[in-house]
Amino acid sequence: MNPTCAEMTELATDYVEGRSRLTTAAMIKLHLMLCEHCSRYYAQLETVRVAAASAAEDPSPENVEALRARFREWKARREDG
Amino acid sequence: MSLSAADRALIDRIKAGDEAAFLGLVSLHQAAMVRVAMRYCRSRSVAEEVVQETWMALLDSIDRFDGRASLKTWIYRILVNRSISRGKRERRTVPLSGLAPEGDDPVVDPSRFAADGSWAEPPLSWGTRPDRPADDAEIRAQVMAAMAKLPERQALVMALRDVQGMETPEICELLDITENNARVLLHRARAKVRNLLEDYYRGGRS
Repeated sequence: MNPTCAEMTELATDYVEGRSRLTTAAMIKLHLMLCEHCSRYYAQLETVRVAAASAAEDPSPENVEALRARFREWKARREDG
Repeated sequence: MSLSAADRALIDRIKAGDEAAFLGLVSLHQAAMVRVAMRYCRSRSVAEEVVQETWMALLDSIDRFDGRASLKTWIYRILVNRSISRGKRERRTVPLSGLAPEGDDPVVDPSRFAADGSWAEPPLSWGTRPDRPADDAEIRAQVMAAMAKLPERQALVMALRDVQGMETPEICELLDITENNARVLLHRARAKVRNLLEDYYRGGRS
């Protein structure tokens, strides 16, 4: 059976993650072709996913400096040993 | 999962004393590692300490790394082991699977659909306002702000899957949760972030 729009919002993650069954995936694809609202919903989820992928935070400068110092100590120990 | 050529090359560079290679690896994983460690430690500063220790442990044992797991899996294994022993000392362990289950209410407010399940109040477009089209930097900032509002377990799974790009089985092993748990947490997290962005673009945009 063709999923309703409400059902489409619950099926989205499995579909995007490639975990929908083949028949379900085919029905979702068809629904997306016919329904601009659900297309927009799925596109926005994709926008969120892509934005999150580029949202890695940088470590604090203090942590980086501490690790840089420890790395140099480690390197010196290795070269001595 | 075995060692990729890129992981192998990175390890060789670190072994040869390449500081930039090491710090590059740090900046790739540090934020997510602090998130993971915070599950077990009482404060952010303790979690950051455990992460620093993890990096040192990685350097000290890099010659013994056998490449049977991916570099990422190996790093997180050290991290989780250290976090757990530190958390025990601090008497704080909250295993993910021991927490209350996620609710199963719909991710989109049911009042937005008509009785037949079609959209009554469809998703709003983002960035059609001619005076201020949405740009990538704005969306990224809003996604990060929205993720900070998620419940802890949802934020953690979304950070590992979407920000760090981990595969679901890796996440399940790391957090000791089932595939179904991970699936539900990710589903709720992404939907909630989308909802929050919609709220933002609806009018609260400032």
